[in-house]
Amino acid sequence: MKQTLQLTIEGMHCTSCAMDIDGTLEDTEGVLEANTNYARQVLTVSFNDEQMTKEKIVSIVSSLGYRAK
Amino acid sequence: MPPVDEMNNTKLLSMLLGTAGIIILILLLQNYSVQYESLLSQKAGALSLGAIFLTGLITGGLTCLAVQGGLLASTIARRHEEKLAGKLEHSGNALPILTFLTSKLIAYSILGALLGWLGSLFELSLSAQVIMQFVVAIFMVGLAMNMLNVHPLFRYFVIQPPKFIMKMVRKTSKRGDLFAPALLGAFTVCIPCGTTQAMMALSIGSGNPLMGAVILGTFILGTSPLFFTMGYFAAKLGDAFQTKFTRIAAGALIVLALYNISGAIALSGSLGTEKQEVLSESSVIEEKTIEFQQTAYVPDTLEVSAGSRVKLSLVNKAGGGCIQAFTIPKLGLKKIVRIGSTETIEFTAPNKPGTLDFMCSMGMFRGTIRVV
Repeated sequence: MKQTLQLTIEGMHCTSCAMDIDGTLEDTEGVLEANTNYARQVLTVSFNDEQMTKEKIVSIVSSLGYRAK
Repeated sequence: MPPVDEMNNTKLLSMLLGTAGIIILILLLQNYSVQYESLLSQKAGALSLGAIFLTGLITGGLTCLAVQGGLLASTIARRHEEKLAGKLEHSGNALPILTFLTSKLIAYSILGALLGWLGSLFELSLSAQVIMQFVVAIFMVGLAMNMLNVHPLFRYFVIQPPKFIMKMVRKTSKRGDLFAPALLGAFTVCIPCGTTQAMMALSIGSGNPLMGAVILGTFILGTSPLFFTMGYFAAKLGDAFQTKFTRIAAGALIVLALYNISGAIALSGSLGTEKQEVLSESSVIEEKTIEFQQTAYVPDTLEVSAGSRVKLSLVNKAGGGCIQAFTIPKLGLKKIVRIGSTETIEFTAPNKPGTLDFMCSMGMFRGTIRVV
């Protein structure tokens, strides 16, 4: 089932970071769409809850060097 | 994407600081003095390019590498996979990175020329040019404030490219062929980071296609050594170094913005001034010549008599970029003199002794006409 989640991202210093987060998440199975707004520091992500969880998303973002909460 | 290894940060920092030190030393030895007076002198243009190169040199491993480095790594990894599968006979990290950087340099130089041309449309009037230069400076300061994390509001200064562009670029990075790094390098013009956006603004501010290409080309050339090193070793800088480098880059942006403001203020001397009638009556005619050299107007000081009619021959021997746009702001006079051509302007000197500054359209190259 499709779920949409909003997370606050910390540690971005440029729009490139936002693009990096979106690209990495969208390359992950279970993630349908990811949109990170650099100015607002907010990530909106849609995912299939049978394949993906909030914890996994937070962990992927952390692995890129940013904090999601 | 392959795993990213941390390099020995101490060695890396020594290497980078050493490179930066050498560049600074070269600039100083070439008499690109950092004294305030020289910022206002005719050598300021060269100093400006030095600062642009230095900014690139420092930011090469920061924001520019954040996404582009990852994308390039994907392409290299794909090539390795194909090599293992026996599809490619020759492979190595250096060639794709060099192809990527060369293509990026060419693409950004073309973009700079286009932006410079866009800026030249503002040269139609001095007031539009002054406003544009102020806007460029404010944009640059805003980006620098964002880099320094002064206030969340400054994040809105950074323009985020549309999502579909990023998707297109990422798709390219998944190709494993020989042209993929080159194509990827060229596509990076679509996803400029904050510092690059500041340089793009500066290219628009130059108001000249050649100068615009030189500005962006110099910046990208500056980013290349660090980008190559980090890309080759698949490394990234630690957070502490990123913070330090960001501060230095932000400082360089502020210097460039102040320099732009200085030029805009000098040009604004013409605002509100009625354009002087060149055919006003005067019995004394003085003929003077100014030669346009590569980085200077020669002579940079002239003397004319108060109230005299002055016929000024402008001979452009080697002046490219904004130096071609000769301006006397106080009189509201402006003349474009292309390399290899000569133009003449006539005006009547003020009746009272004083000074008339002349300069290029950006206020970078300057001189003075003393009215005695």
